[in-house]
Amino acid sequence: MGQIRVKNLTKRFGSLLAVSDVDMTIEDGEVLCLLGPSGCGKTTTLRMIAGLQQETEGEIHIGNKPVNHLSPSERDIAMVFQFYALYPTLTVAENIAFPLRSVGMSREEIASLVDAVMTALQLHEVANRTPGQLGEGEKQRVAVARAVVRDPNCFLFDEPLSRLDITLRETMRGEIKEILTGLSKATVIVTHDQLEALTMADRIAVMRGGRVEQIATPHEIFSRPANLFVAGFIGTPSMNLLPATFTAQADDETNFQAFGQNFRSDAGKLIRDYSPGSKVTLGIRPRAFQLRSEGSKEGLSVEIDLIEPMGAETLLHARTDNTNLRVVVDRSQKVKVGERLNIVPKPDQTLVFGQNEQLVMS
Amino acid sequence: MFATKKKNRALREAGWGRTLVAGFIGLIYFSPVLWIVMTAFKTRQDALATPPKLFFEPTLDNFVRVFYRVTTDGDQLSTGMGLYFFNSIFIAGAGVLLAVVIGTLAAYGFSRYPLRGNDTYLFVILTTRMLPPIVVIVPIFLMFRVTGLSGGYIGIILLYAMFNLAFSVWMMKSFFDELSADVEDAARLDGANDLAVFFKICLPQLKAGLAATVVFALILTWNEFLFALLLTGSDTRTVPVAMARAMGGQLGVDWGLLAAIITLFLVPVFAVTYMLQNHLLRGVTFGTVKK
Repeated sequence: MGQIRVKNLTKRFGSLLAVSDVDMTIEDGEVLCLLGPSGCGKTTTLRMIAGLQQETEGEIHIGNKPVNHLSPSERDIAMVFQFYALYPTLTVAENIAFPLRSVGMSREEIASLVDAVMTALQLHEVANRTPGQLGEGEKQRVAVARAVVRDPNCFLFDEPLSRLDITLRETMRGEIKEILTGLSKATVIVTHDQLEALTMADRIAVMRGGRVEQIATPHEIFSRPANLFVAGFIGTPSMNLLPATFTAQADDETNFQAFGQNFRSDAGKLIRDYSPGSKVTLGIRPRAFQLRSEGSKEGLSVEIDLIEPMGAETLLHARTDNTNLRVVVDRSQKVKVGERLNIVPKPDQTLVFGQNEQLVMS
Repeated sequence: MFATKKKNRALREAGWGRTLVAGFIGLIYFSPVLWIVMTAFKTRQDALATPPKLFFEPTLDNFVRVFYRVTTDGDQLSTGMGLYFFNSIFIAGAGVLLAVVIGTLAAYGFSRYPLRGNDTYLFVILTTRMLPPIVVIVPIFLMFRVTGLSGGYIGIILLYAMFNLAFSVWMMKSFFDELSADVEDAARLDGANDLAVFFKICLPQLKAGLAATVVFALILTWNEFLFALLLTGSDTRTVPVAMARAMGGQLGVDWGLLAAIITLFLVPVFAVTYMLQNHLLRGVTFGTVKK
């Protein structure tokens, strides 16, 4: 069993707190993505799990065994590095065989395992080349091959796709996901690319400033971000956050006022009682708006400042009261710059955040 | 295949004009060496002729005289030069080998497991090379006297090793610093212990650096004169010392003989450098260009 359990994990570099009190459990067969902006501590967390960095405090268990004092080689972990970290002087086949040689496996066993992995990742053609003679995509596949060739407790990926161009990234994302599904091991992937996290992960841990802000399934992270940071970080274009005032709650329907307009949310009940007049922040995704013609009674009156066609959809920068809103509409909607129209948020997708920046809906 | 293609294209681009200019400058640099080599094949008359002769009848006479001396009775006596050549090769080889082995291990330590005040230690190591040998020769001579190392192989080998150590530590440390730490981390995660990481992963990447270090250390050691003069005995004398002794004579300097010794003396260093030259160029420029 290869469950990874991390408790109160903390890392300080001098006075800098890089990782603070991280708690998480990655079950056997589960893929967890550590997602966050640069410098949020995600790679440090991964390196501590790998044993490449000594934690300041906290416990790490792999497969129900405390591993804090084990060296990286004793932890039985396979890791794919951001820059692949292939052995420059060894050929592709030797690179893949290296972890097996280290554990003293017999020549025949090594040959058959390496052969199987090279077949799975289509590396036979380049088997005798050295890493310097490979393209980026091939290097990536060799790095993955070297990780999956043995049967470790768990897998760690550090920004596995960041060096690939966009087309290659999509292909590799699929390939890695397929491999991970087949392996069914506890896996931690570090990434700053939310699309990567949303597509590959069973659960996502969003980190900021060394802390885990939320751990949840991709769906939940997207539809129920725990706080304003997660709400703003996940989703492109990012969520609109509007200052509003709570006015009334009745049954499942909550009412607010912003920009002199009434807003209604029936996405969930508020978890605590608010007195009318309390300040809150409304979170509305750019795709959760509907357009109405100007002068219609519903919605917020805006002026279109800028139009960015994104292919299938169009991103509108709409302005009201000196606040910019991002609205994504289908490309069939014809809108002109300078046009005035009304936008209406879909009520079941309006999220409410309290003054402590936390989501205050059940 | 790819590399040769690239080279050919580069040659084409250079053109004849530039090639000739470069060749001419190269010839100027090489001319002293060439002159010595030519002199080695000249008779005494040709060697001393004015104006100097560019074309002459080559003779191997000088090379024979390097190793054998003909007495007035017509007997051939060994000059002992064979032993001195062996001494030079053995002492320089052992000294450089020792320096590079210890230096590489030390450099890895300095690079990967820095101590508090790491740079200070490195600086201290370098200070051993800051003084000219003539300044330290007296204390070293006394130390050798007291410890009985004077005149033997071990003493001079240790001295050369120590002298080259500073150089090899600094060189190798800069090479180790260039290596990707991720690659070593990857090897550790793949189950390799520290020794395997060092020997199987790090060292093979530094072949070029090792070659460069060996060649530079070897050239310095090979030509070293002062320590060899004062610290070797008659059995352990190296070629530079023997050469100096061969310079004097009743008939003035025997230029042909001297040139022959020098020519033979050049051969080993020439051969080593030539063998390592592919690595050498990469080693000297290692890390100066981001790959």
